[in-house]
Amino acid sequence: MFPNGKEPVLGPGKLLQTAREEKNLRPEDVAYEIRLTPSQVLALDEDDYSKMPEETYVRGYLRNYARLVGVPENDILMAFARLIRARDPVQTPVSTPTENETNKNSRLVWAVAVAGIVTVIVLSAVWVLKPYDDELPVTDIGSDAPVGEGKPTPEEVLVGTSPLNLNKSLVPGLNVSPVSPASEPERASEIKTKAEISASVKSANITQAVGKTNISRDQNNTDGVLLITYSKDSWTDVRDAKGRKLLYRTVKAGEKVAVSGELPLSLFFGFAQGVKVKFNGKTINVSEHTRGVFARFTLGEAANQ
Amino acid sequence: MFKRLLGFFSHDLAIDLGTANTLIYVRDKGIVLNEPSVVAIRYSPMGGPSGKSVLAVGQEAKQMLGRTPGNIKAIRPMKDGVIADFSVTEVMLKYFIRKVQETRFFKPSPRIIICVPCGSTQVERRAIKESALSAGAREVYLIEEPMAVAIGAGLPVADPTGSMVVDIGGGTTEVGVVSLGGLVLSDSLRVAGDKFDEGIITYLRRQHGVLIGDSTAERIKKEIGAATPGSEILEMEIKGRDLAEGLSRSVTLTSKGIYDAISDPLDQISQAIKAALEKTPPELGADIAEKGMILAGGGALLRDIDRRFMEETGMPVVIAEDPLTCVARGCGHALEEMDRLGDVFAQER
Repeated sequence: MFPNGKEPVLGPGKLLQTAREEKNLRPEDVAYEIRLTPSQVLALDEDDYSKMPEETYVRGYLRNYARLVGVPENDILMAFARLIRARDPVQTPVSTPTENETNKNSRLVWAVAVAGIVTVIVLSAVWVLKPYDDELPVTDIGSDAPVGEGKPTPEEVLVGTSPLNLNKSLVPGLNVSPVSPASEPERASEIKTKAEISASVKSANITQAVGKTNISRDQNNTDGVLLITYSKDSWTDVRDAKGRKLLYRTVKAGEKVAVSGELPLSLFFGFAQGVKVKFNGKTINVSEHTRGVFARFTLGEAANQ
Repeated sequence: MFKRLLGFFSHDLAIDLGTANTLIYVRDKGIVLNEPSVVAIRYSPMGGPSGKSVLAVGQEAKQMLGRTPGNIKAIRPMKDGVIADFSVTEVMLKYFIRKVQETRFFKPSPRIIICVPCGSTQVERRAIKESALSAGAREVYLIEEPMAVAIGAGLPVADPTGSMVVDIGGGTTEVGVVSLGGLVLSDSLRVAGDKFDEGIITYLRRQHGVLIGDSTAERIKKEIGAATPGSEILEMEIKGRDLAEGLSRSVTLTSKGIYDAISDPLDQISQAIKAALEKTPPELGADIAEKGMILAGGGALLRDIDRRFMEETGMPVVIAEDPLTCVARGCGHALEEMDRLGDVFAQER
């Protein structure tokens, strides 16, 4: 039917020509009105744009022509666009990146590079500006069960400034024996966690939470270890030889507190009847020091009972 | 260096900083902002060190034009295509730039292309450039409006063929002949849309004894304004203040009357076009006579303005598609092709 097997696309020329003829306008009349030459008008009628200027102008001429003969401009422009597409089909996009894509890629690379630099700067700043952390990390090493099994004992709190010198008799809940790594290598690993913690302690008032067990130590052989068991709430003030406060708070009933510090240790209990004290494994008779409801006494060296 | 770093988080912009409207084209996105160039300023003792604070910018501020109490002023900081109030223009630009930038975390620092009237002085161009730099731009390029129109209309600006463009904006009318990537000749006339509005206000005051505001005048121009006496007659009823009685009065206007009101500025534009054609070198003149001229800007939407210029020049006149955004599109295209079209930018002498 059609030479190339396709139906020809209807261009704007036919629409314009029909409208012009309906209005009994000659090409010369149209040419005069829109200031083109009659041959240009005929070329527009025949969709022949070979001798026309750039597309911008052609679209403008078509709009002027359409307005003159009373055809909607949009219809003409759409027909023109269809015709142009049919005559010059859109080529498949070439795989090489366009300038815009190149720019986008370049921007992306720059953005990633900048983000990387900023991250490095921020991390360096954090590393440099990070304050020296002399506090112990929280380590859950357990206290109610043998060390290493990791079962915390909430009642027991060990506070002090001396190195850990716990044994079974001092802290019944803690299954820690006096350690002799050379003679009992099998125990060494069990104690290792606590030994590591001990080594990292720097400050006198450092507190380490062990479950609820806070341990803090220092390297001094003249220390004593207190284990205080509370059956009633009592204000407690325990200070070492240098007057540092090892325990200075109201301790609730049911708690067990282990305290170690440089001897002699001075103790004050607000409610002495509710307190049982063991010093280096030895039970201390608190009632001997009780005055009214409170008790004040000193343990270690001179007062080591 | 820091601005360059921030630039990675900013989109490059092309701005048509017009007397009436500001349009912003964002690279790879198109026109994203089209707002009136109006800023509402509130004057109060609490309004900062200068006693002034910005109340609204753009469309919101335009609605306040002529409707403000004593302590608020709605200002159009651009006049005749150039900056009339530097600080207010800077505030307006800053607001618009911030509005179109997606990144809120970093202060935007884009590269900006701004169009300037071809008749603007070096001082006026420097003012626009400084204003954009103060508003956060890291680099500012200026492009003359006729060149932007030619690019926006899709004309072959780089080819050795003459193309004539006429841009009737709010404050200025630009006439230019473009060839081989440059402006062969150009003329800028401070007669444009605003003068049409003034003509309509004067006409109503003289012929009907009625006072109207700028907004009403603009509405009349858009609805029934015509550029030729033979245009279809349209009517419109408006309300204004009777000068004698001081009371509101209705007046019915016809497009014929409005044509009379705006014929003076239209004549001046026609004269400028004819003068430009006279000065055009013969070879380029032949190209233009054959192809015609391109009309752009808000003034191109005046009814039958192309017919008027066709009758007066005897040449085909083509109204650019979407004439209001033609300059912004041209600036945007220049932005996209910045590296290739380096010659089209205006140089500071």
